[in-house]
Amino acid sequence: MVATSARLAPDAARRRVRDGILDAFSEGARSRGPRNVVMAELARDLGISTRTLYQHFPSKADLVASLMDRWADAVERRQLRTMSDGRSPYEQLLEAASGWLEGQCAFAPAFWSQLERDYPETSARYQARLRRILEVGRQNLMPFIREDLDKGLALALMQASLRAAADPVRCDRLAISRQEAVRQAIEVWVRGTLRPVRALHVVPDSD
Amino acid sequence: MSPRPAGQDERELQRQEILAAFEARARASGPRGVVMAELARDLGISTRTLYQHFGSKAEIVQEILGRWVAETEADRARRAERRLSAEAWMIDAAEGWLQGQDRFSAAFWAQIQADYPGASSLVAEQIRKSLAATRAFLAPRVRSDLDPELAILILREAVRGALDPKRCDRLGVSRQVAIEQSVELWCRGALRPGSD
Repeated sequence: MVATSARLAPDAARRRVRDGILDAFSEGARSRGPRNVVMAELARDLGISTRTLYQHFPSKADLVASLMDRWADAVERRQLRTMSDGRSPYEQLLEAASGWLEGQCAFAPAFWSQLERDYPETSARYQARLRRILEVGRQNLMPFIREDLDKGLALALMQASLRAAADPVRCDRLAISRQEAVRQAIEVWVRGTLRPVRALHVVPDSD
Repeated sequence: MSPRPAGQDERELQRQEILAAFEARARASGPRGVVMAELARDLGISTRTLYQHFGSKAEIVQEILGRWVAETEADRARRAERRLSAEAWMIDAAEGWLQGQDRFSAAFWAQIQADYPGASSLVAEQIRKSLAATRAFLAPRVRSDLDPELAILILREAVRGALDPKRCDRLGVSRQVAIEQSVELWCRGALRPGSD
């Protein structure tokens, strides 16, 4: 690591070490929870001194905060990408839902409970960012919803049916994958809620 | 109708009065809050007479819920006769549940479950039957590219949400509108076109 970093600009080298630390921390924290990652072991596994580790992240709380920021950044980027490349609302929803499912699989329940209890500020900031992302998604769908439906109700219904469809126990009972269950739930909702397909090709705000 | 001695009619009338008075008292705070001696006093009968009709509070509760089950069954039979469209059928069924939900408080149902296993299993059996009937009615109408069980699960979730007073308050819609729109949305999204 020292040999390669010598050839890179100091900033880039620093950045690389930092990313490496975050990756390794994320690996352990996602499955066992941040509490069960020992900083000295993390440094040892990365082949760096604990001093170097603490130079990058003065505390575990800093590591956790950076990890959640990075995750929220990725979710946000994904949303922007799907919204800007001209996909239909159905495809956008599918993309958002599969990102959400990945998130559910990527972090163990222990991670979320420890995050909430031990790092309440980071947890609150992350939740607030996710709510904003969700709100952007909702606003984005609004113009496509049939005029004769209560839009708030329709959106609440979507969230409830996605949650129901993504439940691992139910999916096991129905012998269906969560991806497929979520896809079908989205299809039912899109077909029932959005204006007929041809209306999706006109500028949705025109009326 | 076979003619009955007047005494028996009176007895039956008294029985009905006891049931109605008990239900009126138990509706909000549950059977636990009904004191039998007070019930008898308010009806102007002795506790002895009361206990001649019903051996215990559990018997009264059992009969009240037995009637509720019978009414629900009658509703279902009427629905079947009317040959409604899938959408109208489901809205009718959901509104029946809404009435049931409003008839007794949450505390009432919680006490039934905790204290009256007989009445509780009667209700559970009725819920199971209703769900089975819904499933049998809807499954053949679900679009073939969907998993019918999953589609019905989504419907249940939608109706459950629509019946939830807190949720409806937050959204600023009545439960009636929430039921109608949720069911209509689901029918359009999940059923074969033109399926009645």
